[in-house]
Amino acid sequence: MKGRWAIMFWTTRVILRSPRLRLSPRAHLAIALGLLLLATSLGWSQDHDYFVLGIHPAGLLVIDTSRDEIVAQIPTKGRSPKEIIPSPDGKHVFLTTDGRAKIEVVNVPDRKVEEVIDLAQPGVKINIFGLAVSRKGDRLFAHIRPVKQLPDEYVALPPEIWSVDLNTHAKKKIMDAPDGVVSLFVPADPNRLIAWGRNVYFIDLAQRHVVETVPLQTGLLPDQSPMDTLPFFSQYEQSGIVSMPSFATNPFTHNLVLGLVNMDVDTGKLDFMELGPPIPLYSSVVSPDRKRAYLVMNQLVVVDLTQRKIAEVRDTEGTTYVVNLTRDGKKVYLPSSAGPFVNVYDAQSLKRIHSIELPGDPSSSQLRALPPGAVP
Amino acid sequence: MKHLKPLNKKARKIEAAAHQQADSGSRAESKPDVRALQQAPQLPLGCALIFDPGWETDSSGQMTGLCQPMESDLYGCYDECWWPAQLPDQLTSFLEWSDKCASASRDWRKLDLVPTDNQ
Repeated sequence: MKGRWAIMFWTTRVILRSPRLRLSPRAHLAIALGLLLLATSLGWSQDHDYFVLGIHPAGLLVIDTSRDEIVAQIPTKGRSPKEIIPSPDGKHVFLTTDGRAKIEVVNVPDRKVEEVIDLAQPGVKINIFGLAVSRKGDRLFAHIRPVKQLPDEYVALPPEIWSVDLNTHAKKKIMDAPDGVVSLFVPADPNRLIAWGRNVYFIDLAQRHVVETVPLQTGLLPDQSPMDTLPFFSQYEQSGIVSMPSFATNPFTHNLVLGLVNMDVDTGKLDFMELGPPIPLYSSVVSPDRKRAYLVMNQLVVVDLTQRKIAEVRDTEGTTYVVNLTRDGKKVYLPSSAGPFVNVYDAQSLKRIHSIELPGDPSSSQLRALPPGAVP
Repeated sequence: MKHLKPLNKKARKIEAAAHQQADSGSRAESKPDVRALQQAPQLPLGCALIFDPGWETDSSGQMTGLCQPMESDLYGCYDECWWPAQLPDQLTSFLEWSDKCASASRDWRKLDLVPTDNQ
């Protein structure tokens, strides 16, 4: 940061003192101001880390982590944003709202909802559990659970995975989905989609079916125990690792065991580790250097990923569903599950350093970081 | 045609598990089944980790192992009907219940009334 400012300062100096330039004092001032603005915007885009967070009853907040302040509050059309997926350029954010029934496309710099995507067929209500955007930013994937609403009966239809072309707005059903899917992830291979639920499913988008399954709950051998994960609150953009606490009963001792499942989003490679006796935990996030994981519920638990064991456990001020980190890995953000605030912790000392007051409860909204360079 | 015979306990278990899976698979194909998603193994977490709104039970088929209203936050229950709390649900029936209440702890008086059938 300091280096960039120094370069900008000396560049300005050289330009203004150039003997070839015979500029008026006003032109000098204009050039200096222009370069200063350029430096400022570069500084913002490079160094500032912005989070987006949904709040009750209908809003999306943009939080500047360098100041720990809200810099924008964007009204949403529907209620209570849940899943939040930034586009690769950070200009748009895709949200599920209205009880996960709709997808809203928010233009962050313009501070407005550009489009509302409804995947429901007439007479059918849907809930979206799983939203992902392609790495090019041209396709949106959604896992839906449709329910046919008859006059006197609700009929649960098979869950489906759909894609929406963000250029043409064409919606297309890709396939019937395995039961129990909650999250979708886009790996580096553009022909693959990862669905996480009872098991982890690798989907071939051209063939439109599951080509590989990593069993967590079903299809296990008798000496394997079903593993529970809660794939709702996956914040992985700072490390490229999706991380989730896992719980399984040891089939021999019958003791419940806490573990951690980490998946490299690029490759889909899974890493399972056992951590010991259970601690109630909702979600986990991996630090950008991939050396530590931060797990939350009523405590903040730090796992040393190099030694594969719990390093520290601290009580927090309340219950937290989601957790995320700044890009430099120095601050940890815990939105309250039941109050209008986000608590900020120092990632090393685990001491609370800030509390950001919010205009509404974030509840179980995801907290996502905008990509580097995004200027909201 | 069967070429392999289980010789030890583990092999017999594998064979039984394979039969069980085949049976459940054919049942599922023949008739769709709606049932509460039972949480197994027993978790100390409260909420069922296999998510299916409104249909969770704990490992004993009861609801006592799940989060109870007094230990859950208001919107955690309302948003997605995770727990058997005595709250309206936002997924299906009472979408507008909290429209005037940005924060449950600050503005709870603004929560709407929920009419029942006999009102």
